[in-house]
Order: sequence, then structure tokens, then C-alpha cells
Amino acid sequence: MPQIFRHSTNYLARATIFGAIFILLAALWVAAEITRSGWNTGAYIERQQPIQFSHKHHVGDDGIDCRYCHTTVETSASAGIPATAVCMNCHKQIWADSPYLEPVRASFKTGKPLQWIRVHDLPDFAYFNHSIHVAKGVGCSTCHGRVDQMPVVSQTNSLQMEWCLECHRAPEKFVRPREKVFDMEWRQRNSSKQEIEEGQKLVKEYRIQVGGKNGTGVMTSCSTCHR
Amino acid sequence: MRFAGIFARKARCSLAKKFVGDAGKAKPFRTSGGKAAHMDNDRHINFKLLRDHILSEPPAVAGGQKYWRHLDELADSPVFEEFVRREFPHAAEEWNNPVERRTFLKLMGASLALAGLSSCVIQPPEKVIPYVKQPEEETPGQGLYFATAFSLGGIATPLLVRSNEGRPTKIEGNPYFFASFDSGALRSRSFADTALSR
Repeated sequence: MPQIFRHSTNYLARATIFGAIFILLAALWVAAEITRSGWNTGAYIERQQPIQFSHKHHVGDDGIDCRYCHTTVETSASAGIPATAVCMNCHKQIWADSPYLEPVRASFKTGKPLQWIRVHDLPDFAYFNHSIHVAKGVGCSTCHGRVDQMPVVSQTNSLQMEWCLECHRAPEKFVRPREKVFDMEWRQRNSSKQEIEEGQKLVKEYRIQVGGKNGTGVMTSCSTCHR
Repeated sequence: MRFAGIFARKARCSLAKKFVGDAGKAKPFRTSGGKAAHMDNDRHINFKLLRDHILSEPPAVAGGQKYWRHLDELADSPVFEEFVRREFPHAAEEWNNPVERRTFLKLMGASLALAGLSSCVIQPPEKVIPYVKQPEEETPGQGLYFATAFSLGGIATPLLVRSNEGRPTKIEGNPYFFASFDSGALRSRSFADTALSR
């Protein structure tokens, strides 16, 4: 009876049977990396806004504090986007005739608000409160990156639950003194042993409720965020 | 024959062309055997044959009229019968193949399970729209409570209204007043609360 398959098919069959497990794992790994990638999370996309507001200039060069514009970050769940009047506080006098600022002046005159494009957006089923994070020593640059170096704001982190849990499970790695929360140059994470020790002290001092094991503490409990 | 003459004139109209043969005879390319077959086959295209057929039929008895929808049906030629038979087969197969049902259930089950996937797409960017001039007492995200009143049957009823950015989100009776429009239980509970808080 003539052989349909060549002799090398034996080796191919054996290789693919063992390789199938490897191929399956590789495929799963690729899928996992894609869901964490910037394509899926929207990270590093510079969102073009209706007005070319440069944080790099206003924060980096001019030294304006975050709270001058994002006024409710210490008191409310939402940090707040500045009202047109906040822009006009300075720009009634500085660059008062600049064509770049024409939409701002028009908004102020007509009373129609400016429509900014949201950069950091969590899904609606996740509750996030800025004020508690700021009060407990989580810095602005820890989550939002070096905004003072961004001419156009982009989302530097994935904002996925996995990323949030990285801190929620080990806050000593990310917490900083309260006075340094609005300091853009402070380190974004505690890596060395000494830094982590400092972090642990702060966790105790600020009463960050890490608590029990595996979801029983407030920090790792489901209903803290999924309300 | 007279009528054929009339219809030869009317053959200018394209619609009538259908019913005009060469003086009532079939077109040259038609291959039909025998005069009877020729008459039957061409009834739907030859007006003279159609007319002869209709007039030769006995008048309908019970019920009066014989109803027809179009001239082909009235002609009742074998060509038309064939057409009807193909369109509406009397002895069509019954659909009792059990594999088909299983396939159907598989498809429905899979569709139901995977229906949620249509939302697994990257969402378009949202807009965030602030005030033009933010009122001083406003904290976006936190509500502002107003003690107000509304008229219920002519009596001013005290209300406590929570407003978020100018939108009223919760209206309830003001617990510090007796004449609240909420139920008596709530009123007495809030009474107790205020008593305890002292």
C-alpha cells in the first residue's frame, strides 16, 4: 500500500503534539499582553484639546500649583476642570489678544462652556474619589505621571484594575508625605528598602486601612470601589 | 379576425404586443405538436386563443363570478400550471430533521452567550465640560443642600433638596420641621434624631 505521508510526518506530528501546549500558552500570553497594551488602554495617546493648553508651560515653566485650577481635588471625588473664569483670571491681562486664546475669550463672553476631551476616564462601574487619595498621601504624579513635562496631556498608566491593585495591595510602595503630594518631582514609587520602610511608616501614620487578608481589608475589598 | 385587425393597430402599444400573434397564429420559433397543444401552450400570449377559451367555458354556476388575478391565470395554460406548481409545491418535504433543531439550539445558545461582546470595543473619548463662571459655593461632585419649601394643598411644606451642579437630585422633607410631607415614621425618626443629637 503506498504511503500517503512522508517519513518526516512522524517528527512533525510529535512536535506539534508537544508544541500545541506551548503554542496555546504563547497565544494566551499574547492575548494578555494585548489587553494590557496601550492600544487597549488608551495610554500614551496625546488627546488634542480644543485649546492647546500646555501643562508643561503653565506648571513646568510658570510653576502654577495643580490646585489653582483643579480646585476640588482635596474636597471632592472629582478633581474638577477649571472654569473659563479661572483662565481669564490671568489671561485678561496676559496674552489678552492672542489668537490661541480666542476660544477662551469667546466662551467667557458668550457664556458657552469650553468642551475639553477627557483624558483619564474610568468605567462607570468603578468609583474613584480624588480627595481620599490626596488626603492619604498619594501624589498627583504617581497616577498621572509627569504632567509638568507634558505639552499635551496623555494617560501614562493603564488605569486598569490590575494597576490600581498594585498600590492598593502594597501602599507602602507608593505613598509619600502629604506635603509632597503636589510636588511633581517627588519619586513616583518607593523602590529601595529604605524608601519602602518610610512608606510603611506613612501607611501607619496616615491610617491607610490595609487590614486583613485577601479582600477583607478596606483597601482590597471589592465594595470599596465597586459600589 | 376583425379583432385581430383592431389589435394589429394597437400593437403599437408595447403591452398589447404580447397578445398579438401573426393573424392569430403562433410565432415561427415555437415548436409545439398538434393544434390542440398549440392552442393550450400559447393561450397566455395569444389573445384570440384566450378569448376563445373564455367564451367556450361554461358560465360559473354556484357563487356567480369566476375570480382571477391576472390574465395568465385566466388563460390557464400548461405553462402557467407549471409555473404555479414550481412556486407552490403541494408535496413539499416536511421539516423533521432532528439535526437541524440541534444546530438551531447551538446557534441560539452561542448567540446569547456571545451577545455581550458587541460592547468590547474601545469607547470614544468623552467630553468634560466645566462652568464658565463657577459659583463659589459649588463643589462639583459634592451636592449642595437647599432648605426650601413648596406648596402642598396651599400649605408651604418644608423641603431639603440636594442639588448637584445645579441639578436637583434628591428631594425630601426637611427633618427639622414637623410639617414634612414624608411619612409619619420618617418624621418621628428625624424628630428622634434631632432629639438625640442634642
